[in-house]
Amino acid sequence: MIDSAEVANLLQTRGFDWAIRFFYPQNEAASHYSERLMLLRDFMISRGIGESAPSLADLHALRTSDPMKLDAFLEALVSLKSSEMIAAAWRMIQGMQLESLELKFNYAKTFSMQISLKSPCDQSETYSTGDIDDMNFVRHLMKSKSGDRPIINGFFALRRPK
Amino acid sequence: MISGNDIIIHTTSPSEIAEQILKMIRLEWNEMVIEDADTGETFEFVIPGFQKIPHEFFVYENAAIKQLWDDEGACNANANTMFHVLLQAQQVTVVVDDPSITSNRNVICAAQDFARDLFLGRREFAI
Repeated sequence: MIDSAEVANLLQTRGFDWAIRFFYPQNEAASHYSERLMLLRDFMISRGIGESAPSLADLHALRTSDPMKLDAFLEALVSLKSSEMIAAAWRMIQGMQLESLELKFNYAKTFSMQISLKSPCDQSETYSTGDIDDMNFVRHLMKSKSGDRPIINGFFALRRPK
Repeated sequence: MISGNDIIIHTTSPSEIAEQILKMIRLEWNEMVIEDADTGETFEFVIPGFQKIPHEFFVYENAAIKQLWDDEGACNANANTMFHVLLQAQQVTVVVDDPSITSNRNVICAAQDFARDLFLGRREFAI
């Protein structure tokens, strides 16, 4: 079990009160986000990468060591729909490189997104979704160009550093 | 002697920019060696994982080049074989010999592109 009061505290200390305030019914927000964390862990276990799933202790540690990465994860947690895409965000925050992204959309008909990540030792992981609520994932991707080579740098927090 | 040109990247997120600079340098030099300027210790840029990046560091093309720098310093033979990166509160400074050399230009332009994209993304979110 993940303590929902601790999750609420983590969100509030990083300025995510809005994610609780805008949730309906508001008094269920903390338990909802706690459940998302548990579902994320279950999903990562099912993929054989459970040891990399974020624990509350990991997240608390990031609060001082790398708050912008914590914010990036919390933004994913409260704005993305599927555990699969939250896991993808977390893996990118951990440092995996986005290798490919495929997005298909037909107005009022279909939406699908598939991404492939690569680790430094060339291991690949693929994540996909058919829920347009996961579209927010793309907003967090920042890009650059190295010569003519297109680069997607990673998954970043959208809020400004405090 | 070789010279140094300072390229300043304005940012509110120096450590995020520095991490990307290391990734961009690795695209150019996959055997790069990083040295903490304060301690003189070399360290691995590990991913995946979370890593504290020092506030000032040098990146050499490879171990042999680092040895040459240790032995000879800023001699002509060592031109364009090292990046010097400094993180400050609101900026990252990248020092290179000749910014027009392809590898230097690729890294500098990519870092500036990224900093701009990050700024624009966060600005849009803030409005």
